[in-house]
Amino acid sequence: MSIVLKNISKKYENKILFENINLEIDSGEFITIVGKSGIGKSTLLSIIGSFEKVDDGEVIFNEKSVKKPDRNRIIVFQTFDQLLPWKTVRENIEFPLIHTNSNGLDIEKLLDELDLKSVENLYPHQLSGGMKQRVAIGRSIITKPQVLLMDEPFGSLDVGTRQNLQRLVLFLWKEYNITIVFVTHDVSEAVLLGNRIWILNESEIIEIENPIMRPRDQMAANYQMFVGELIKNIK
Amino acid sequence: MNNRKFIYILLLILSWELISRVVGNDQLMPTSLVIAEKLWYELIEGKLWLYAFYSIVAIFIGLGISTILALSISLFSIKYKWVMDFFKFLNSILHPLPGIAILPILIIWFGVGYKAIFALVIHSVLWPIITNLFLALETFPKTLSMVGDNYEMGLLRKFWYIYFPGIMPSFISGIKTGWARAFRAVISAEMFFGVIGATGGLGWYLVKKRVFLDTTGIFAGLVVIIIIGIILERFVFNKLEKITIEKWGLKS
Ligand SMILES: Nc1ncnc2c1ncn2[C@@H]1O[C@H](COP(=O)(O)OP(=O)(O)OP(=O)(O)O)[C@@H](O)[C@H]1O
Ligand SMILES: [Mg+2]
Repeated sequence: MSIVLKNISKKYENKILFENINLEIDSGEFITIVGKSGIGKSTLLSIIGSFEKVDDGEVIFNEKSVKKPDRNRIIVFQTFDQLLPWKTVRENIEFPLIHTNSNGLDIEKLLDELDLKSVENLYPHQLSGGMKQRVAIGRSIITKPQVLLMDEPFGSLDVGTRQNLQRLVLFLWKEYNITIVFVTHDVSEAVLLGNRIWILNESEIIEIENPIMRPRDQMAANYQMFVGELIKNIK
Repeated sequence: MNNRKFIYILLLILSWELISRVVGNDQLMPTSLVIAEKLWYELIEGKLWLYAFYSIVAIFIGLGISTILALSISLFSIKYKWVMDFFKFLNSILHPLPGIAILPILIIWFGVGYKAIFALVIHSVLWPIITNLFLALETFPKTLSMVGDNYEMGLLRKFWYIYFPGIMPSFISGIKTGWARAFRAVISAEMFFGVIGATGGLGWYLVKKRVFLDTTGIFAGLVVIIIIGIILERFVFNKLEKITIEKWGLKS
């Protein structure tokens, strides 16, 4: 068992987001989180990463109660400002290695896998949105973290780029054996990526095993039926 | 320098030459050749370069102290919100106060000498830098700060590796504004102070020349002040600003 959320409650001012929720994430899982805007997806992800304090309950990671973020639960955002503007692609990806004194993954191999070799010396503002997110993903896995927390990382990308990056994330997930928790408002993306799907609603969190076999064909009838079923459950 | 500027300078020298010849009185308006000769003489024999050196060193030491102060204040502002609020309040009161206006009180506190000059420079430079840094900190991407947290970096490490480079472009524009204010303030102060150190600065040089009715010498001093201003403004601060703005991708 990798992460356990135990009796978590969280409210902002007078808005109650979560009340006494219990969730578990096994190591190696790919969990996708869907739900309508403002329901608390980002907040839940931040709680899992210990970026956001809880009012009650605790987050248990590797059998220990955790209160602060750590290098084994890396978060990736949707916004492009997460890259260091004064560092090149390569320097951005290497940044965590320097600050954790770890060897990490082979950067040459990673640059290849991310298809960033040809732009490794460019600065973030010289990159396309898709390239920027590939850099962010590269940086997030270079230290071989156990868990990756991704908050709509492809939310600002066009369809083609998005598909490429979905494939990339699945590849990295298998290759490096990471646990991924992935927030998206695109239900089809959630079905494509996750083994389990969490639907966040006002008063409940629905957990559903993904029945579709990999590799998943988004055109297949059972795939689309499952997507439709999930959409009906989002309230 | 582009061709047009070169032509402007030629035109300026030419009109100066013309008018000064019509005036025909070196005590009022020496011709450009006389000024050029005098400039050369003063720089070598009159140690004008030493006066300039004193002024510049005074400013740069003050800049250095202000930088350390401004960065420390920024560091604590990240940690404690009230520090930023407090210095914002202080800034709103003290920023509009011209440096030369506080000179009398600085003299009472620190006496006539470098201490007062440094205090003057710090007052001139600190507030513009702080204004810029606070603006940058308030719009600083939360995601970048979270990257630091994610790798368990402490406040100092986070400041040095994430915040400081992140706010660098604003820092440089702050220094640029501050430098211009400090340069003016220091030259005025030196006129007040007379000799401090071995010779005194450019301000004192100008006063001395006026006392001896050495008009040409005054113009030589002014030329030096203009040249220093241009070199630092255009070739140092503007360059630095341009490099960071381009590298950081802030050019919109
Ligand atoms: N720091 C905060 N202070 C007060 N309220 C907040 C804060 N952060 C989030 N909220 C509120 O909590 C709720 C959940 O926000 P959250 O960002 O988790 O939603 P989300 O599901 O990620 O939405 P979206 O799909 O739009 O990203 C929203 O109503 C939001 O206004
Ligand atoms: Mg969100």
